Amino acid sequence: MSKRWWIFCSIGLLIFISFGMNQTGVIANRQAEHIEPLCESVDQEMQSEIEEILNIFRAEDYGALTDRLNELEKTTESIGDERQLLESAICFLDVYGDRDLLADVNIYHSLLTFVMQADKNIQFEEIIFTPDQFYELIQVEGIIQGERESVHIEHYSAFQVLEPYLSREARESRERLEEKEKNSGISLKKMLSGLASSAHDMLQNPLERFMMTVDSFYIGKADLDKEIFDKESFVNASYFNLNYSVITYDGNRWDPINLVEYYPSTNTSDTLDRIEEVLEELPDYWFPREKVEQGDWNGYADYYREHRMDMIEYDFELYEYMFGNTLVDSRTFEEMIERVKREHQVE
Amino acid sequence: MRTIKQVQLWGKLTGIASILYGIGSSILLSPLSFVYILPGLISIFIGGLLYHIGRQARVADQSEDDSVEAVFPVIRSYSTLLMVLGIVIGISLICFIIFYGYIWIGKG
Repeated sequence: MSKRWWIFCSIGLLIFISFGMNQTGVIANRQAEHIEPLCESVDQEMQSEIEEILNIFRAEDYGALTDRLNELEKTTESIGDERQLLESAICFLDVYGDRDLLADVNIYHSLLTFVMQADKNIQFEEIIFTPDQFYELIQVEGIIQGERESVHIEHYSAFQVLEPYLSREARESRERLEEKEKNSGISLKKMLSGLASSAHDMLQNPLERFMMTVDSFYIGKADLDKEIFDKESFVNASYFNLNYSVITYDGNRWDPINLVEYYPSTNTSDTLDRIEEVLEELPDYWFPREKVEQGDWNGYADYYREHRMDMIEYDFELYEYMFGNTLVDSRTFEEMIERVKREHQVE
Repeated sequence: MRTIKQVQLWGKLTGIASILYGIGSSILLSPLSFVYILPGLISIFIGGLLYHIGRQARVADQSEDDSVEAVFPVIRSYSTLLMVLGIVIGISLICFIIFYGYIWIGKG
């Protein structure tokens, strides 16, 4: 009896392991189907170039990354080629297993986006990576040679970007509070600063006052624009289950560069699965197939931002199912689709 | 004579303070833009005029001439200072009106 039991358990364990292995394969294939659109065009030469970049990140050798970026010819074509290499890196990485490596690749991609946008021969002195505890929010500072300002990148790499985003907000509020508490008492530094400020007000001529007023108006406006840009980028990434980088450069204080780059997350693959599931039943439903096939995730986010209200008006539960993976009223997907088809008279 | 000594002392002191402020302001703000040097230069110029009033007051104080004419150079320098300040205030006022008008039109 005991021998039979052991044989039964062993067979059961083997089936369980092989089932688990097949499941991993299913996930990898599923990803390949949706978010690896450029893999067919990757040749041997590109593969070795990609491996070279990946090795830099594996070794966390950011000095080598700086050198690579500096040696890159600053033309639209060569930056475009390097960006395409990075976009193809997903073909050799598992979105789940190599999440951190993928985040690094995406950050390098964001840096190239900035170099392309800045439209000048930028050389970096140093590139500093500061990740949070879970590698969900990576803050990068690119110190530019001969410039006062650095380029800042905040890259969110998580299943749900909500968590690292709110953690950052909470941390910043805490830091502001601590700063306020620290400066609440009467100190010599504060008194001297007040004295200097009064003297400054007294000696300032009216023209200087005018220039300071104009300056603070435009800087305040730029700060608010940045805050709105930051929040809108977060909202888009959060709605459509994407990772993202916010790239900022205060080179021109009145008109700083604010850029966003969206990237697929571990959640994007599941979202695309649900969208495909819906498209099988409702082929005319909103889906930017071309953008997804081209790996144009900014285009994908723009498309869904534009059509979000249309989708909600069409059917809220369907929208919630696709992007939130929840069924509001129906018990099953089939039940929901039947209801939607009935209400919109779809065959 | 006590008054003329006060003009001598405070004219020189406020003049030096204004010159130093102008130099500091020009140096600190020049990296932002060359335009920011302009208010610093105006402060240096105003400081120079104030210092000149102080010097004229010293000349008048040391003069053996007790008539009112001895303080005329002080009054002349002071009138130049007032004129320069008036022009700067006028230009600033016009700039403020243009700036707020521009923002108001932009909003409309």
